[in-house]
Amino acid sequence: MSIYKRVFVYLLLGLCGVPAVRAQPLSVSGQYRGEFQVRTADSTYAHHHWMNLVLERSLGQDAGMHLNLEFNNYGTNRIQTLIQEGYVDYYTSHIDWRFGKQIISWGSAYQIKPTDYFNPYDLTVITPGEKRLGVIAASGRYYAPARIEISAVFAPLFSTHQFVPHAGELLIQNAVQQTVASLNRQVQGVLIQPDPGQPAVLHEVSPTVGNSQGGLRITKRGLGRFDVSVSVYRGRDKFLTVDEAATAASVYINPEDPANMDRFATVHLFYPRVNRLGLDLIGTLGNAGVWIDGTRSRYRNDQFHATTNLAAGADYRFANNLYLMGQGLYIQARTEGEKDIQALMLYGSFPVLGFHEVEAVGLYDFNSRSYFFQPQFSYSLGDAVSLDLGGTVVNIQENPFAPIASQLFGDRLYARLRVDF
Amino acid sequence: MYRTYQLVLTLGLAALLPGALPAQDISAEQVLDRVENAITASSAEIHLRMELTNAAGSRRERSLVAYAKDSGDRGKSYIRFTAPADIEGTSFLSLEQPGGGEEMYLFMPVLGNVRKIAGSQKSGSFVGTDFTYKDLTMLGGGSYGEDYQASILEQDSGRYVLRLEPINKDITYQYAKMWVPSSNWFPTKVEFYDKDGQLEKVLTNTDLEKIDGNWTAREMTMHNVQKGTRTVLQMEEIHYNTPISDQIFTTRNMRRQG
Repeated sequence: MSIYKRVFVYLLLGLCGVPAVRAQPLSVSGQYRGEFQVRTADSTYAHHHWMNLVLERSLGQDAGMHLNLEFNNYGTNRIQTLIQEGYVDYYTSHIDWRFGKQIISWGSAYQIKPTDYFNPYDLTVITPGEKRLGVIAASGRYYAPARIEISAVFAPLFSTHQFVPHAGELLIQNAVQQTVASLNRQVQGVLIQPDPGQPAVLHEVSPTVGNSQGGLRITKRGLGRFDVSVSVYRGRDKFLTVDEAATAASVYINPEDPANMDRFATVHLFYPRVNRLGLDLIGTLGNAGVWIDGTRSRYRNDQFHATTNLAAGADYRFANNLYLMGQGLYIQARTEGEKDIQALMLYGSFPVLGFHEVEAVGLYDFNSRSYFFQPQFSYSLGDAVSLDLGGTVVNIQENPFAPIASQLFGDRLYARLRVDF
Repeated sequence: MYRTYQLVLTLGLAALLPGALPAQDISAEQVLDRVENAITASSAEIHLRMELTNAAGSRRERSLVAYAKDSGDRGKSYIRFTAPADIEGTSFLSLEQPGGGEEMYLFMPVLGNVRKIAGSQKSGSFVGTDFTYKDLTMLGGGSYGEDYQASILEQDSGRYVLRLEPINKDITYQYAKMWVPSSNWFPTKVEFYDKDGQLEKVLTNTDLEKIDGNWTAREMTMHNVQKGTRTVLQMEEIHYNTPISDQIFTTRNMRRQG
């Protein structure tokens, strides 16, 4: 055996003996959620099931993998499978890299976070903002001296909020109705109707380099009693809106009744391009937690105003374990057709008999008088097994594009079994 | 939160003097000083199992690993839950500030985000157990002089019974009684009395063992006699004065471990 072969063999044997290179055990965990609902408006039942299977493996000291597979259905026998997250972590001395489908958690507000730019909401879950969907991205976080963290994200593909089946269609129907009504107000005396052949066109975002998303955030921890972050984002708004110019250009005279001069319109819907600048601040005042999470957005389309979105709140835990949180929300309208959201969000929880919990979350929009209220009792059946009993009261007025639009499907009572393993 | 882990350190380290010694004629403050001075470990890694029993007799278990370290005038602690599955990966980080106060962070895997939390999160019970953070502080040994005024209730040949009255308004008990044997200055029992002077909780420390040269209570039981609940802390694994990297006590580590 030549000296070179020996060196090669020894090197291989040596590498196999290094713990970092040996295969690490695969960690398996996950959660099952089964939800049974009674929709009080029409007294119908519905059941949803989710199963998340999380596989994790350490790849030595400097890397690791994480795969979160989700299986769900919506009261049908068809099971939808999706990769909620699937990424590889790679750690260097000062930078943590993450490549793959991931959730990028920016923002300090409760549930609805203006600086949480990248991940769309899963609006199939009951509580607004409770769950987000992974996006394919490369992200890096540099840990600089003086407790400064610099995060950068590049997400090549755009994805939108997820609705339960038919809710997305309902949203589009609402948009069509509202847009046509708006056109009718603008063109008095001439009736404009949705084009029966093509009432709406949804302009999907094609997977091109020009449609990628990117963001940068700089965080300074321990600035007085606060952690402060500033961030920038370039991408698209994840809520649909009407392309007014394209819609106006689509109006044409009814060819079957030209004398009447009635017109048809095709409503064009799209996800507008936007640049955002964000500020996120979280800290303490006395023993209370406080935060401000806000953005200033400029759309790359003349029909939109520059908008400000802001969430500011505080929380406090009392000696008897009562936890209270209050948060104000201000979401400025993007167009003349939309309305501002000025809402108050409240959350409270209180333990019962040690292991169980009563909680309630409420949201009220002062402008539209829309509201959402959800009390819940969580009964712990055992370690990591709980049964949630609750109800949802929803009243959505106008604003079909509001973040609370997830509740389009109305009031309900529900029982939900959660098992973590 | 650092004092949370000082509980474990205190209970583990206070008993350093060998053999049963007769009680000496010393003041209550001196007794407290000896309890405080018994804490000599500068770092600890502790694997804990908690058994919670509610008034109906139902039981739940939790497991966690805790790291604590003194870095000059700045104590640090990091705690991560390892079971059950619904809270596995949840972690707390506490960094004492040189000028007083502390910074606290919470990481929850479901949120994927390190979040700064406020001091009020230390109100109420410690993660649903019968221990409050203040109980732990009381047992931590590091702040008796600041928080309590002590007097000797009983004294015999082998132990002292102290009455501790809080002078810190954040402590909600009217007073506490602490049993301290002079053999090791290790608090073996503490009774907590509520604002009405009624017995509320009883802490007992059992299964003493010398680990890495330090006496440690392998088991601590807090019984809330008013609610009928009970929490048992079992030290499954303890390492004292082992080198613990400062990297453990960072928000970066919280993310990586989560």
